[in-house]
Amino acid sequence: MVGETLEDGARALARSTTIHLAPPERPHVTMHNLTPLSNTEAARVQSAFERVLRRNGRNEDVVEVTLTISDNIKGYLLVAEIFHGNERAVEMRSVLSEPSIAPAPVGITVTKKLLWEQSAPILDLALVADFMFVLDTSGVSRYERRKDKWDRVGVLPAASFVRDPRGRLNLEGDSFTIQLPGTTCHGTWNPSVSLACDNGGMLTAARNTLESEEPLPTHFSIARTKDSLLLAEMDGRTHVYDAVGKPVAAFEGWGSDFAALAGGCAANRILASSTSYGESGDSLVLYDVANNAPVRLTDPAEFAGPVTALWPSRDGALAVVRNISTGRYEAYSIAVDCGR
Amino acid sequence: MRASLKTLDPFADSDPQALGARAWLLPAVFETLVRFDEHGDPQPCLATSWIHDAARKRWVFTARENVLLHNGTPWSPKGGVIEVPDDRPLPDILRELARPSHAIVVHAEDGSLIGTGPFRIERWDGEKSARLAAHGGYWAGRPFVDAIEIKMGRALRDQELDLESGKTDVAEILVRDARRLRQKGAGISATPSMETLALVFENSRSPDVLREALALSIDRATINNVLLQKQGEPSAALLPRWLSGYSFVFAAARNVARAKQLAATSPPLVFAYDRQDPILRPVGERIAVNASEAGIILRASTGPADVRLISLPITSRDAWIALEDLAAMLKLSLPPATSGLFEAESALLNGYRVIPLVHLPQAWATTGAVRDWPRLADVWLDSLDAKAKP
Repeated sequence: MVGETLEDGARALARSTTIHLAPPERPHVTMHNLTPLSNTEAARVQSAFERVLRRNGRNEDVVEVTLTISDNIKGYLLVAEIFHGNERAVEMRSVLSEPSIAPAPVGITVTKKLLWEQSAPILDLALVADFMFVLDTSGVSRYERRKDKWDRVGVLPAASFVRDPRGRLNLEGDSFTIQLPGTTCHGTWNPSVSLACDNGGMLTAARNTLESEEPLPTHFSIARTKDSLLLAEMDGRTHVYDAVGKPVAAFEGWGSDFAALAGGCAANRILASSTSYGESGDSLVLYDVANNAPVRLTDPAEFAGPVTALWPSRDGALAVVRNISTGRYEAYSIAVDCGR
Repeated sequence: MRASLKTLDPFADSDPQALGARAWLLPAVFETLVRFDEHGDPQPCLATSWIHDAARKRWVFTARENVLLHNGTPWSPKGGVIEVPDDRPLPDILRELARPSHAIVVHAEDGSLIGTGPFRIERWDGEKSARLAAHGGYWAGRPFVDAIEIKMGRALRDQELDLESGKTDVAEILVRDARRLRQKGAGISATPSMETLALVFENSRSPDVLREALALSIDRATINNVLLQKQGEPSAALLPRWLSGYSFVFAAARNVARAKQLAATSPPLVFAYDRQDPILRPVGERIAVNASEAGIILRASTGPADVRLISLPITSRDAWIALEDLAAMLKLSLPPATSGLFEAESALLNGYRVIPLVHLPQAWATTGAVRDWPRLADVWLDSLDAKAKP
């Protein structure tokens, strides 16, 4: 995978290697390095591999596993050979160099505009005229634009105590809907403020996954194009289903946040975050889905931290990012510039 | 060059032994919409970009502007685009479009071939010689040299003599001769391993166990270290490691005891190789010795044979295309691309119909003036050294 470190690749390879080991078997790993990687770096790769393979207990059934760090013109290749007597199974994992970028259509770019930032985690944000509504982990705050500044003019408590909180805010004229894990709240903000909540909604109670009316696998994100349904599922991959719900493909490389866009050159296309394996900045890219596989259409729009929320909006999307340097949460309006 | 090419027509069948030379020369004359860079990634060539038209289920490739054919006429597809149905994943479509069979070629009325590449075919004397002249209107800029003269079917020794006598600027060489020639003042250019020496069974008369026995009898290490002076990469894989990354997974170790067991009471095999070739001859002789140590008798032949020692070219920096071309040369079926490259190569090697031995690089010696060989579009002559000889 592109953007993955060697240690990430070793961990992924170890996971696919474990399927060749029966529960009582204990792997004994021997490593070969065929690349210019230093001994220290190669040892780190081996260590990452072994940590995932490690089994508890005093298993006497030792299985020899050879881990080879190799390379080719595209990058590194990690190879695990699992030996059971005279039988050998082979698993491989490519850790690619950054690919030469395939040409994107001329003029299409993903643009971002910072709307708001604060220290509490932002779950969603909506703008209407001179008012801004920010849904965060303590509730909904209403701001009014006065002399080019946002002044907070109201707060509606609606706390969310879920690990990795998510929430959705929809405005319709003077009324609004808030979705929190296991809860849906309806309210008005004009002329008076009111809020009433019930159980149920689009977010799973006490979890960070989405609910749906139709029976679907557990998922973090959902997007529909003209011909396909895409789900970010629990295995970390994006699964593609056809128009009648039959699974047709699965691929890696997208994060758990993506959104289908509407309108202009972005219609039927997906905005997706890159996978982030720790403290590094995410990016958003616009993709097409052709023949059940993603096709990159734009250069990445980079951010200073991981994307924590991505929702489609009227004009594109709303992205929330946690800035690694400041620790604050930033809400961006994301649009697609069709150029020409 | 050693190879002899009847024609450079991308659509014509080619002798497998000349496929490597053809793969190298073709892009200099005929271009495709997409080509592979040094990492094997598809890059724009005659197409500058591509976009998916979901409504009409097609890929639309935008044609590069200001491209002139060798006869000076503009290359301008209708509407400035080329459409391809989206019936396959995009990587497969791009791979296909990068193949020579999808090159832009115009057949003129006089039978000549017209392309868009940096050189045009000025003269082609089938299998003897050719002259490629610079295309003045090339879209990426005229090549530095005015022309490249090619003499075909020249043995390596003759090429070296031509270089020493000043009759040529470039000669193919064996990598083991690079040091000697460098000491004489020649420039040396070499590629990663671009050919695979292999034993190929030409009929199905030999039982599987005998083929496996022959494979186990061969001492690849000695062949490489002594006969090839460590210039190659001993391997039981078809694709070299720089391309696949996993060549070492295929077992290449010698096991004479096991070979003897498998080959017990087996009939002799008729064995053929080009005895004029400076590499194939000593390697073939060594293989016969190795086989006899395992009780396998190889009877020499200059005609039809059960098993033949040949050189298989690596034709592309895209591993799949290279493997597909190898399968075609070997007349073997390749599993579908969905099965994975390693699985596909394993399937070809299963049954020992082909026994890879060593991967070898290509090398050339040049006069002191030649620069950027073998990238034909970029090669130039340093005038300060123009008269220098090795």
